[in-house]
Parts: sequence; structure tokens; C-alpha cells
Amino acid sequence: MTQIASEHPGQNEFVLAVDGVQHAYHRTVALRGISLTVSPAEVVAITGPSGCGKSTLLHVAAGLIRPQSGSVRLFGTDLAKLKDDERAALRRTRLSLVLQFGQLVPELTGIDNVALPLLLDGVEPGAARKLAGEWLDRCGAGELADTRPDEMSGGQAQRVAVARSLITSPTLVLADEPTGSLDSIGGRELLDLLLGEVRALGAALIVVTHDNTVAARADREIRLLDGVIASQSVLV
Amino acid sequence: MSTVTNPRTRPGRRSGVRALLWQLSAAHTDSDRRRFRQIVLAVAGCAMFLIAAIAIVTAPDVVGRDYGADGQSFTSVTFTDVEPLAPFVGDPELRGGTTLGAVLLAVPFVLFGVQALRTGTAARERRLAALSLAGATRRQLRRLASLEGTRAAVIGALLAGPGYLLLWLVFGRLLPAGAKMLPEPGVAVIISWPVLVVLLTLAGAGAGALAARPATVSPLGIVRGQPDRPGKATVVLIFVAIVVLIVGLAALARVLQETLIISAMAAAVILLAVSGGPWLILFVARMAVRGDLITMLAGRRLLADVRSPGRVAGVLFTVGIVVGVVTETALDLITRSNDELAFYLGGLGAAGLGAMLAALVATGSLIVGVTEQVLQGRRATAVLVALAASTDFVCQVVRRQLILVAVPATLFGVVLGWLFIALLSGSLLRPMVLLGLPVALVVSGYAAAAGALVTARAVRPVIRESSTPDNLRVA
Repeated sequence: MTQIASEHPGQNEFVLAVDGVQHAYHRTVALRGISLTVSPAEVVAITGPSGCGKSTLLHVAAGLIRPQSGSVRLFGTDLAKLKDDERAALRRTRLSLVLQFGQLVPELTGIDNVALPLLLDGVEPGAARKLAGEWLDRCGAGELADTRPDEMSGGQAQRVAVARSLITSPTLVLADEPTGSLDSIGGRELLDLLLGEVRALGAALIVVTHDNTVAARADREIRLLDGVIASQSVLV
Repeated sequence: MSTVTNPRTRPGRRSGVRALLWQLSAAHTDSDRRRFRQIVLAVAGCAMFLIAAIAIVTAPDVVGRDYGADGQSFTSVTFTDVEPLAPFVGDPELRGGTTLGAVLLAVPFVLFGVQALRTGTAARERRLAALSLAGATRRQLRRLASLEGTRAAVIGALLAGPGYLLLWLVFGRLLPAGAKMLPEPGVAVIISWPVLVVLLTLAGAGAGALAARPATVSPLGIVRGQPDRPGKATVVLIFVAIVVLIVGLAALARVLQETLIISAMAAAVILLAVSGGPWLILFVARMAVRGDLITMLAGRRLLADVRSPGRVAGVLFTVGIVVGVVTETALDLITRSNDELAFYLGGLGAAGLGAMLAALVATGSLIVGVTEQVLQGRRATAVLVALAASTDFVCQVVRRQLILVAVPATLFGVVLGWLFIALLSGSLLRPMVLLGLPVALVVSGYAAAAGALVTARAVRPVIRESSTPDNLRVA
């Protein structure tokens, strides 16, 4: 088994280092030699028009897609050297994802959805659910503990998804259009929640978004166009 | 803000994971429960006919033969101290063929089960993908999918025992002496039942894991890919099946009713049905896309997923073989000798009944498969209706699609079954027998088309439901 690098990267280490990554879906090239780094506790917004490769880049960074060339180092470890189960272990521990529609498991209640990464990791169910309850409260979704996803509104499901992504105290949170399915008020509230909790944990956040108000609250904005980085700007 | 402590530092208990996977493997929604019932039915039907095959192969001898010095001529001896079974079960020389028939009857249920296992694929893939994103490993996802298959397989296999008793009551106990098709359940049946429970449970677990493979391969769930096509490995299976059939035919011409050859040929027919079905659909669909608008659209729908209709085509192909064999044999016997007709009539009737049962299961399988395809493609249907077509037009396309699945496969099977038995009995060139082939083709062709129309009628409400504008927004 490949040894995953240090539990918490030092000040000079990057949580994510992408180097010369290329990826294509059949004949459609999504990423053309992208390189970027993300520091600990940094909030990076990835923007750009539809089809420019934003989501693909996020999936590559999460180890969900193996790029056709280039390398991705997550917490100092080359993802190419990790087996599938080791990458799944990363998603249960140091990395987490928030997607546009929450991606909750429909059969599980709110509390079980939040506890899921811990339960999958073998944590005793009572302890996992206790912690999940605390995170639901923190995310303003305590009343959804016994509610199934199909009975939740879009905003409620996203709050539960945020709680699920933070329960493991991750080092890096990846969010793909987290406010994309919400109205402007709901979107702003969710963004406040996500940014507040991520900063409280000291985690890094990469957020893929179409929304300029989301990008404006990041430390840095990376704009993609046709699979390449068109511009980068430090916003703080 | 409260301080939250991550409990991972405490010693973890794997029982929590097992309990979670067990909870998730239960049927939660209506479609889950429908799928579960279909798998249970398929496993029960399959196990029932496998038990019947075991009961037949271990049946007591009712008829014996005293061979003369030349080793060719013989005198039949009927034993009166044993259960009065039908000759095609009680005669050890004929029992192999009857066993083959019982095994073949299990095939439609297997294919129905596979069809049911694949239903709700998109929703289940999304669920597995959500778990994967939360950090579930592939092994955990495979275990979950296995558990889904296991739950249904255990219940189905357990139901097969009482199911077989019912079968025996109808086709054994209640039939008059000399016509009983199934012997009284003996030690072999009692032993085979729990053995089948174990084997089918393992098969269910394996099939469940295999059916969920696309979702366990990618945490993103449904991956962007090319249309589903049968793999090249199936060509090898088809080749092996054909070789076994030809060798078996040659061997049977000399040494009739060898159990080993019969078993190998049964396996070959199963191989051919399972692996050849998707290729047949691929061929038919490619021809269809050159046709008129409705046929072209039907062909395109088939090309989008050839495996699902391919499985049904496999069953109908097997049904066609049985129809071909039965009609050829019946015509041959009628035109040859009335005495032999009386002897074989029961067996032919049973084979015909078996073919009808298989056709019914195939129709059920077709309904399950097409319903699934319509539900999965409901956005495309809604778009088609919103842009130009009427719901009736979509129904016509689906009807044509079903006819393309059912009719060619059945006709192909009839021709093959007919040729097989005609070559074996040496009656290929007898005019009366030869004239019966087009009649059999027309009758079975119309029957297959009728099955397709029944299926089209059954899925009509789903098509109407899929045509509403609400479906324009589904994923």
C-alpha cells in the first residue's frame, strides 16, 4: 500500500499540486495541460463558461478521474500511485466533496447521510451519529436528522451535504457548483455556511462556480477557457 | 460554536459498516420492491425446474430393455412394482432428453432474473455513486450489490421447494398412471433443494455484484461512454456452442440419449441463447435503421442497448428451437406411424407446454426490459413529443421495436430446431415434413408478434407517463 504523506501539510507544502494535466472524453478535449497549486487553508474559485473543463478539473483533483497525462499530488502524494480503495479512503478522511445536487443517499435519513463517511470508515454507529447530529446543528439543519432527502428542499439537502463533507474535518473541500441549484438568498446562506465552517476548520476549499458573487469571496480566482487557464487573480 | 471531536481516533467496529450495508441492501422504493419480487420469482422458477430435472434424472426405471444376442433387437419390459411414470420419464433411454427439456425450462427464468437485476440501474448507480463520493470503497459497493442479489436469491431458492411440490402435484400426483411427468419427491430432491439454495445464493451474490459493476468502477456513477455492444468474448462462446452442437449431433446420431452429450448440448443451447441474443439484435437493428421512419427509430432504440432485448431474444430463440423440434417430430410421427405417435404424444405435449411457459416468461422479461428502457429514456421521449411527435407515434416506435426483438429470434430458433431434429431423425427431405416448416414459421411468427403487441399494450401507460413535459427536466 502506498503511504499517504503527512497528516497535515506544513506551511510550505501544497494540499494540491496539479502539473500538466490533460484529459479528453473520446474526441472532446476537456483539459489541455493544466498546472496549478493550492495552499493549506486557501479558498480558490474556478470559473469559466460551460464546457471549459471546470468540473473535469475538480474530478481529477478528487481522484475520481485518472487524467490521461500529467500528475496530481494530493497532500504530497501522487494520486496515480494510489489504488482505488486508497483514494476512497482519502475521500472518507482528508478530502471531501460537495456537489450541485447534494448527492445524498436517498434511503438514508439526514443524520445517517452525514454520518456516512464515518460509518464507512468503521466508526461505532452511536458515536458517528452523535457527531453527525452536532454537525447538522452547526449547519443549521438539526431538524433534518430524521428526514429523508426526498422530503428536503434543495437548500436543506445542500446543508446536509455540507455537514457530511465537514464531519471528517477534512484538509481539502472540493465543491462543484454548490449553490447552482439554489435561489440567490439560499445560495448566499449556503456559501456563508460553507466558507465559515471551512475557515473554522482551517481547510482549503476549491469551488467550481458560474456565480461571480461566489468567486468574489475566494482568496484567488482561476478562470478556465477551453481547457486551459485563461487568467488567475488574487482577490484578497 | 461547539467543539466537535472526530471519533475516528477510537477503535472502529466493522459491524457498523456491515449493518449499514445490510440496511442499504433492503428494497426501499416501489421500484426496488418490484425488482426484488421479479428476482425472487426468477430464482424460484429456475430452481424449481432444476429440482424437476434432478427428480427426472433420478426417477425409477419403469421400462427396461432385454437386448437380443445381436445387441440391436430388444424386448421392452414394464416394471409394475414402481411408480407408473410417463414413458419419457420412466424409460432410461429417453430420460436424458426429458431432463434436457427441464433444464432448458430454467433458462428463461435465468434470463428474466438477469433482466430484473438490471432494472432501476440508473437510480441504483446514482445511489452507489453517492456512497462512493462519501468514501465507500469498491469492495464495500460490491458487497452492497452482492447483498441485494443475495437477499432475493435466498428467498427465491427457498420458495423453490414448496414450488416444486406444487409442480409435482399438478404434473405428477394428479395425472393418471402412465402419464405422470414428475416422480414422487425422493432423497435426491430433498438433498438438491438445500444445495440449490446455497448455489443460487452464491450465484445471486455474484450476479448482483456484476450488475452493479459500472457504478462500482466509477465514483461518478454513469460514465460517459459508447453505446452498449456485446463483447468480442461472446463470439468465442457462440463458436464453442455451435461446435458442441455439431459434435453432439454427430454423436447422438450413433449413440442416442447419452446423458453427457445431452448435458453438453443443453449447455451449448444456453450459451448460444445467452451470448447470441445481443448479436442477433445488433444485426436486426442495423438492418432496421435502413427502413422507414418508425422502423429506423425502433432500430436506433435497439442499438442504444442491445443487451437487454438480446436476453429476451435469447429466450425466444430457445422457445423457437423447442417449437421447431416439437412440430417436426409431431409431423414426422404422424406421417410415419400412429403407434409411435401415441407413445410420444405426452412428451410432445409437455414440450409444447414448456415452450408456452418459456414464451410467457420471455414476454414478462420483455415487458420488464422495455419498461426500464422507456423510464430511463423518458427525457428523450418527452423531447420527441414536445418537438413534433405524438404519444401514439412513440407507441408505434416501441411496438415496432418489440416486433424486431421477438419475431426474428423466434423464427431463427424454429428453423434451427427444425433442422436439428430433421437431420437427427433423417426426415429432412420427406415432403410432408418439409411442407410443415413454412406453416410452423408463419404460426410461430404470428405468435411472437402477438406477444410483442401484448407487451406494447402493457408498456403504453409508461410511455404516456414519460411523454409529459415534467420529464423534460429529469436527469
